[in-house]
Amino acid sequence: MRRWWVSLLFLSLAGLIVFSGCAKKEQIEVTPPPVVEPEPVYEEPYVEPEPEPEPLELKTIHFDYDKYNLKSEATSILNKNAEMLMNYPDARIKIEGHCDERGTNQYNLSLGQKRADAAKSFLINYGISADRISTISYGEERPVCNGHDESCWWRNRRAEFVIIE
Amino acid sequence: MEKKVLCIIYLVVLSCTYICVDVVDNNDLCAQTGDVYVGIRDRGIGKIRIAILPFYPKGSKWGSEEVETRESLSRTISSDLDFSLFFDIFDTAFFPQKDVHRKEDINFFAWSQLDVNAVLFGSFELDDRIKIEANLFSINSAKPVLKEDYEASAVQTRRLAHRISDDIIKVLTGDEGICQTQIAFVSNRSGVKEIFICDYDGYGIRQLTKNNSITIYPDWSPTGFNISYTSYKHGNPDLFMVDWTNNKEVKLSDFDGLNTTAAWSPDGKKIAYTLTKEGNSDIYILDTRSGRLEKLTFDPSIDCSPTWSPTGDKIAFTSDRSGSPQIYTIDAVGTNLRRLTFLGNYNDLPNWRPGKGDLIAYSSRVRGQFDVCTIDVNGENPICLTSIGNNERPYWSPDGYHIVFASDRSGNYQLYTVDWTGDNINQITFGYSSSNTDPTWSPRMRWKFE
Repeated sequence: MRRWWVSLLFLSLAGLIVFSGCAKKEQIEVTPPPVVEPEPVYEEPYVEPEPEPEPLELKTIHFDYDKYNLKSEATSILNKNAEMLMNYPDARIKIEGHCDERGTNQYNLSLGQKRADAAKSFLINYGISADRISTISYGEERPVCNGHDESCWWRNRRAEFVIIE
Repeated sequence: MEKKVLCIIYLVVLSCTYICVDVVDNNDLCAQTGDVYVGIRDRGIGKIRIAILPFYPKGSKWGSEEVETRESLSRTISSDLDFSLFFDIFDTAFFPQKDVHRKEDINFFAWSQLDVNAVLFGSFELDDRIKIEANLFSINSAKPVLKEDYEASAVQTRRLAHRISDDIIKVLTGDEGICQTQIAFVSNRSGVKEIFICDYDGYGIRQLTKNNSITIYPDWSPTGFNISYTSYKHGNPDLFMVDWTNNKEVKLSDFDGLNTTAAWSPDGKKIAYTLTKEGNSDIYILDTRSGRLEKLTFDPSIDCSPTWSPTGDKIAFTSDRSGSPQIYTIDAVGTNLRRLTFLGNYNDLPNWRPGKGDLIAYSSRVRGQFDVCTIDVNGENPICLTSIGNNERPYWSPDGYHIVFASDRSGNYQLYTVDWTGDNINQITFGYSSSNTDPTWSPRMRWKFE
């Protein structure tokens, strides 16, 4: 029984040797493909991508009743507007001063002009050239809101920045 | 005793009115005693009692047009004379007679029993033209004081009636009436604010400007031909003047910024108005002939809304130099600045009373809304004539006894007139969808009828 085991081992080993010898003889010689030189890559130096310029958009400022001094909210909006105008050195604007319906039309025309002028002075002090800014007052003639209470009035007491070029 | 005193007062009053009716035969004398009648209006008593008899048609034609014309003549003349404050219109219900064609028909005794001082009667002829013969008799002297023929195109009937009213006022009081005057105002009925004109009683509205752009703040030149106004039609609020009889327009001032709240000087040579060309709202005086410009106010606050005294040597205007809009007066040469109003936190739109020049009308906010008020030129006796809604832009009639203003008491802004005493508030324009504002009263006028 033990002999059978050993002879089987021998046989399988011999077979293994015979077959492996055969396999070696059948190997096909293959010529390696020519080496292609890779195109030289010039790496561009990294630059910050140009930021898309923000579209020129100027925000409206608002005033207290019968006042033409600039509130702190208004000056922060004006700062942004001025920055924006710095980025668009060719832009020219018209500042429109408006009032709510209270008060007389006649006095409100002057008040609207004062509001437009206050905004203009701020922009000039910031460094925007005066000849880029014109002003006009519409008094209470052009409300953006037609209600008869403060929910509308505060929106109508305003200076608007209209881009004319 | 009381009865006696009353009787004496009554007699005095009566004799006063009789004097004025009797002296009318002599126009010069009447003009000299003009103060007596000013007195009538100032005191509101001693009015001339007048009976306006129905005009009779001269031809045989008697249709609805004739009825309408007769009514219109009586109604217009009655309301004119009533409005003038000189007259007490005698109620037709108590007429002792209505059919009067000539002097012989007048029952002088019956009228004098009713304390009627004067009787108006006359005839008319109507086709496409209207011809009117008017006769005015003094009951006391039994004399004619007016006998006049009038003629115009039939569409001018109301205006012809206004002419008759002015003639009656002139002949009985020596005063020039205001029945042919006009009112210019701003209306948005065409979609955008434009200037319109109407007769002083609100009839005959017609559009003056067609700028298709905000057009505001009209003022009549003292000649009565030109109306100045501010329009945005060229972009900037510029000052223009148009001859309303031929629509010829001239640009008067186009400085950068406001050219607005213009007021003609009484001599018609200058315009006081608001400019913001130097970055501040100040009053300037423009010489309309030489174009010379003088600056009147220099304060860094808002100054606007000037009005001239009738002599032209003073100007009242609005300033917020105290912190709120208030009325000030200043000499037209820039000296003697004086604050006039202290009541209310918002006073604007001063308008100086013509003639006597003793009062300034203005808009005052004391009860949260605007009222039409008057104040003595020395700053005393502020009195408000209105108490409902907002009442803005008071403007005196040329005789100084009436004020036209805009009020939103009925919803949207419409024009109203009121006597200088605050009596007889009367709406003269109407409309639910459009508003009428910024009235300004023309100087006295005499229409040409063709």
